[in-house]
Amino acid sequence: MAKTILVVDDSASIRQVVGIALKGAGYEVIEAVNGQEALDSLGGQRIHLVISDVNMPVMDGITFLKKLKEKAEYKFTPVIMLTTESAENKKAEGQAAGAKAWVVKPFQPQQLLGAVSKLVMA
Amino acid sequence: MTRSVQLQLMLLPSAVALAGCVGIILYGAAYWSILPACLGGIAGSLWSRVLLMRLSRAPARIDPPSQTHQEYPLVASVSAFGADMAPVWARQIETAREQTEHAISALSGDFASLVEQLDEAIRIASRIAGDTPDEEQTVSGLFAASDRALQQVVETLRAVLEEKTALMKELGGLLSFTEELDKMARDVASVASQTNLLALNAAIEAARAGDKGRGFAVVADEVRKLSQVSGETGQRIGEKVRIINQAITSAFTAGEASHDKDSQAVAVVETTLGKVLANLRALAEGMTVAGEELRQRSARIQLQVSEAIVQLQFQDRTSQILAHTVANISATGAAFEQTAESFRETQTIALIDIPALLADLEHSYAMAEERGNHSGTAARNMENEVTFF
Repeated sequence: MAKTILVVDDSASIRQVVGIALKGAGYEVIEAVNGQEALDSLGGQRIHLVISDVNMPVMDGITFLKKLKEKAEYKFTPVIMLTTESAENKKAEGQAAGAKAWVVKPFQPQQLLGAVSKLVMA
Repeated sequence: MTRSVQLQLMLLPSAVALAGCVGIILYGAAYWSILPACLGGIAGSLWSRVLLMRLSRAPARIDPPSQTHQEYPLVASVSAFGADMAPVWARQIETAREQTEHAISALSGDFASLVEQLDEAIRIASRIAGDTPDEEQTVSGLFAASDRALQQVVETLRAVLEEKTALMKELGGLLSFTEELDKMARDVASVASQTNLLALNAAIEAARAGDKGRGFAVVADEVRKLSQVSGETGQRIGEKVRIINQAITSAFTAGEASHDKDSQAVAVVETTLGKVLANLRALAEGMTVAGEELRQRSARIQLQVSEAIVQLQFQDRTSQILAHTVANISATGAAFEQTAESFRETQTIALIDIPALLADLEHSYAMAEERGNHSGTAARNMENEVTFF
């Protein structure tokens, strides 16, 4: 059965290209345009991994990550931050909030898939 | 230094700085080579700061005017820039950003659909060409399965033919038995005939013996009757055997004809199947070659798709640069407007805090390129950076 990955990004084109990479590797993808929509759409369903942008309107990626980790059913769901943000202090924020990996855009599909595969299997 | 000159010295460098920023937006974002425009912005900014520092040493308070602010066209221009021009620039850039975003989103969607269909086509083609984990679904697998099934059909036909041959041998054996039975029936008839003759002789001898031979005559008569019955029975047996013999002969003849036809049919089936299998084998071999070609092309396509995925992400970066710049243009316009308004109300020059505006702009950055452009230093390439925690 295909693993389900939640992709959270306010850029439609980024959601599309991430979807291309993930679906091509056999993953099932669900999308949200910001952190709040992602939280609202979860509904307790099984998510194997989350890929989230950092800078988003309504609710940014770090806040979303913190709120996600407060939910018992998603406490151990691995999260990859996929962002144009490369500042070390931002990375540290992501790590403190519980992110497992930080990928700087633009990403190479193979690298993202490598990180996804590593964390989904973990 | 007149108030007008002071105001011009204060505003012109800011305008240069703003022009530098616009240069970044209009050219830098498109070509990712924004150093010249950025340097313009930085130079403008520095110029502005130097002049403002000089001005700050001058009295901030201007002599009370004897005229209203309408007599200072430059104040009106500053106000118009902040209230009218800067918002127009911001709206134009935002419109361009939105249109680009929509277009690239649609393009990405089309590309995603195209890739999905391409993947499906490659999957189907690979399966046909034999590049699938399920051996049964490959052409060579189907060929092997078909070969086995058709060979089983031929084997079954051969087995049926062999059974028929055995049956024909059995029939042939029956024919020899009926011939033997016919001979036995003739022997019975012959024995009966001789017995009848003996009975006649016995009756003659009994008559010659007179009264003494009367009892023997009765026995001779009974023997004669028995011989007649035996003779008739032998004839009937012979007739039945001949009927059976004819039936078996007819069945054997028909069986032989059928057997010959079956043998020919099996031979035709074998020949035809051999040709069909040879054609299938050639097709399977051709498909295997095509499969290898398909695998190579598929690998090239996947590489190009990966490159396209990287390139399509530029919109996200461009959009962020433009959004940050638009926000700063709006803030700068507001600052210009506020300065003009302050001058009207207090006749005091409220210096535009360009360093603060630049700090706000810098604070909004997300990308290394933005920070590099801001400081005028080459940005470290952060693309594809993956950090595991």
